[in-house]
Amino acid sequence: MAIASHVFLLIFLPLSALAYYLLFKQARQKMFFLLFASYAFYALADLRFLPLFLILSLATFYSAKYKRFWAGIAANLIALFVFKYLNFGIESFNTLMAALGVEKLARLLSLGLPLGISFYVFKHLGYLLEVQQGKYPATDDFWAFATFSAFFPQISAGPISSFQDTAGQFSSLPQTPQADQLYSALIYMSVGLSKKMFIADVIGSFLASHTNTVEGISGFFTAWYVVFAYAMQLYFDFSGYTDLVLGVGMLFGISLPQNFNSPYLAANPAEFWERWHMSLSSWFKYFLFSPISRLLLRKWGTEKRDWAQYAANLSTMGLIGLWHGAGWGYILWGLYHGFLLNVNLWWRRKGIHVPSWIGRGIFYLSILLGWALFMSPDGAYLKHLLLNLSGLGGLDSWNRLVALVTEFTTPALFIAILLSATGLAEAASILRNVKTHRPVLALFWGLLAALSLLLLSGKIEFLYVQF
Amino acid sequence: MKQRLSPLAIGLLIIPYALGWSAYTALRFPVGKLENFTRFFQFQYHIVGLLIFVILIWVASSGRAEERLTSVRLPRFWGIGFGMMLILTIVTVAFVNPHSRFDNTNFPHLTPGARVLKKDYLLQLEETPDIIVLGSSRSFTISPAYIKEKTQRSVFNMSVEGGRVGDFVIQLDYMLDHGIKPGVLMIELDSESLMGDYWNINDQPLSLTPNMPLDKRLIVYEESLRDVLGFYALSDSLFLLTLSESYDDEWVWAWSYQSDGLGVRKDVGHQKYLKLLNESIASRLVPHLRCRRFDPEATSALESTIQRAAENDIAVVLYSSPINIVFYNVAGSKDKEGLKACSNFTTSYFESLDAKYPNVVFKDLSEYRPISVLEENGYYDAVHLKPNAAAMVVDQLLNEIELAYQWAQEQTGK
Repeated sequence: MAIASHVFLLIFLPLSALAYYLLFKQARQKMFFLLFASYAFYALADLRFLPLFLILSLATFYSAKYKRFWAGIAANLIALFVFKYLNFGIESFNTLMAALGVEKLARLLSLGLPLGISFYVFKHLGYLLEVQQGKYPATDDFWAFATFSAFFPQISAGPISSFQDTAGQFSSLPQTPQADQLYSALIYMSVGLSKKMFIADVIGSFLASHTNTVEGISGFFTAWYVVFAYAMQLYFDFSGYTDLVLGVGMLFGISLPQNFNSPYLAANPAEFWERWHMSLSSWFKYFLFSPISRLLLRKWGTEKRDWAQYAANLSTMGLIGLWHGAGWGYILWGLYHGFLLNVNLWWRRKGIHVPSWIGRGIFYLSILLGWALFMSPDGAYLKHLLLNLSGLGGLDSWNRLVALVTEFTTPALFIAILLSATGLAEAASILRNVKTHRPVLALFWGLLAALSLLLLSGKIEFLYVQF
Repeated sequence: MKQRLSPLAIGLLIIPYALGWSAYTALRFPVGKLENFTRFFQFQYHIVGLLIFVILIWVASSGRAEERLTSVRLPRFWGIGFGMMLILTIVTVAFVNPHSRFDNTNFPHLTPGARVLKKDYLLQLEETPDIIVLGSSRSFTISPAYIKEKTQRSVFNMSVEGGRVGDFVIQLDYMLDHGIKPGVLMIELDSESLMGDYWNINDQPLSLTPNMPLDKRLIVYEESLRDVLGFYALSDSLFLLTLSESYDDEWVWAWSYQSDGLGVRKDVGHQKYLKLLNESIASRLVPHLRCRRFDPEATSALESTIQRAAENDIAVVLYSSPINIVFYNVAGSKDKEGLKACSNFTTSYFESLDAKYPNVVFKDLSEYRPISVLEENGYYDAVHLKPNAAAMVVDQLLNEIELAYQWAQEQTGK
């Protein structure tokens, strides 16, 4: 079962919400019900890996309780490594051995990727590190921790929340649904579904059928069309998912952190990472970037402050790249963003002034080139894409251009760019702050949600679920 | 202010754009054909969705509104909009039933419909038939009247499109549930029946779910929910509702069925025969070249069906339907060894069933040359038999049918 599925949206979610409000009155009972619903969701989505998830939850809870933080951290990281990165390591080893002329190669394992492992492991690690740093004491309440760990709306692809923020709400869960909270939840879900079905999936189906091979990109215009399309698909897919998840959380009276704040309105790489996948970037900022910076500063001294930050940027962004997937392309993409951050830092430190439109232009170009790295399945594809982006691959034929303009995807891409450029892609959070609404608009939001639901075919998953 | 103007600009840009696109798609794809209609409707649907989305954001964020957010009317109105659209869709799809999910036949089906129709035809028979034919569309043209003429036994043809082992489990349960106990089940089988999705979950109508195991039932419910509340079912329903007089025949399911279950289709003509032949060869190469292992769940389901038949004194004639010689020539040229190995593996498995179960008789006709060489004179494509070829199949099975029927008679007489 996926979050964007008929079974979840029409059966699991309404039944869970009804049971939550009608059968249980006390906050503690409601929390237990959320735990039960979360395990049921996980079992229905991927029963094979439920035991692993339970074991890691127990290991995290007890290692924090008995202050064996490293045991909990090791357990989570080993699981993440084995299930997500081991095959990548074996593949890289095999490639190296083959290059050295060694014929006997290690075999790949067919373990499968547990649902949401990148997200729940980071929630666990965040909890362990915060307790270790003394931000708050380890909880004695296993059930609250288990509910935080498994909370079903965010299990598949985040947002990654802190224990204190999420579990802190368990003691004051609403007894009955409040009209404004309910309406906000419905708006978030409507906006999320619309972004996913009317924009991201339309663009995604074009990309899936036109960019599997290098032949799909035939020149300068197609290359830029494809990169723009990918940039929009990724943003609308993931932010649509986040809106949906935040809406589901609100339905149960739980606020989850925002993940996006109009990232394509950012003026520089540092600002971009404060607006894109915010829960992940802030996790890395607090638990990796800051400690690495401090460590290097201590080692190298304050006179090498800039170098410490450059190194911290590169290593943090390289790991953010690796977090996205076990592949050199992702690592390269992370390092590339580290490089962008460093260039931006250097630029600012040097006090170089350029007109803002030039600065923004260069920044947008570099973000799009980053997506070209991110989306390329292999080196040959990347080379072909970059060649065409630069114009060295030639312009497209007239027929190809006409075909592009008349693509079914073009209106969706056009709207996506306009919504991104105006900040209105974050409609759900904008509308939450608008204090007045009309019933007729509510009716149309409901209609739009239903129109989106009818487009769910179950064929295209949310992109970030695979990470 | 900036936020108000931006959506206004988007709104102003999108409206002529949408109108232009609508006109363009209508001109480019004449909607009389199902494929074009789907594309046209998909386009309009997305444009309408995008328009509503942008206009809602614009209006809602512009602040020109009258009611407080806290009003309980807002979620209620959301529910009305949501529910109204879903109910309209369900009613339309259930009424038109384009994908044979329900039992009604108000409009032609765009997907296989034999599972829906034949179970009802079976119940409408005045007497329980002596012989019931099960299998895939390869046995559609096995004529009950012809078998009756040759054996004096009453016959019903219950074969269904893509009929596989799961279908036999369901159909036998359905028969026994309704007190129908024939003497003989004639089951047409080949390697495909035991591979892949052997339950054909996507084609099962809701009304047959009581005859399925619980896990399969749940999958059918989920698939049906997705289908009935899906864009394509709505689009196909609107196509049939608005253009049912002018649609292209090609898109309506090719077969129609008589009350005895016999499948009837128009002769396809030489050009279309060649097209269908090539398509059906391409789609069948893999299961006929690589079948070294059957799904153990499928073989187990087949054997439990045979046992259940035996417990109810029903004999089983298993047979493999003859395949167009052109298929063998093409498959043989690609992988002769694979074809032979697959054929031997399949036949030996069916022979082992014959040896293991007293109520089973097996006859392999898959490579029966007098029928295979008929090519276009005996086939609609690589596997679907024309009536003359189907009659030749029956002639070849008369002894097996008689043997099986005698076994059943002996059991009931005990």
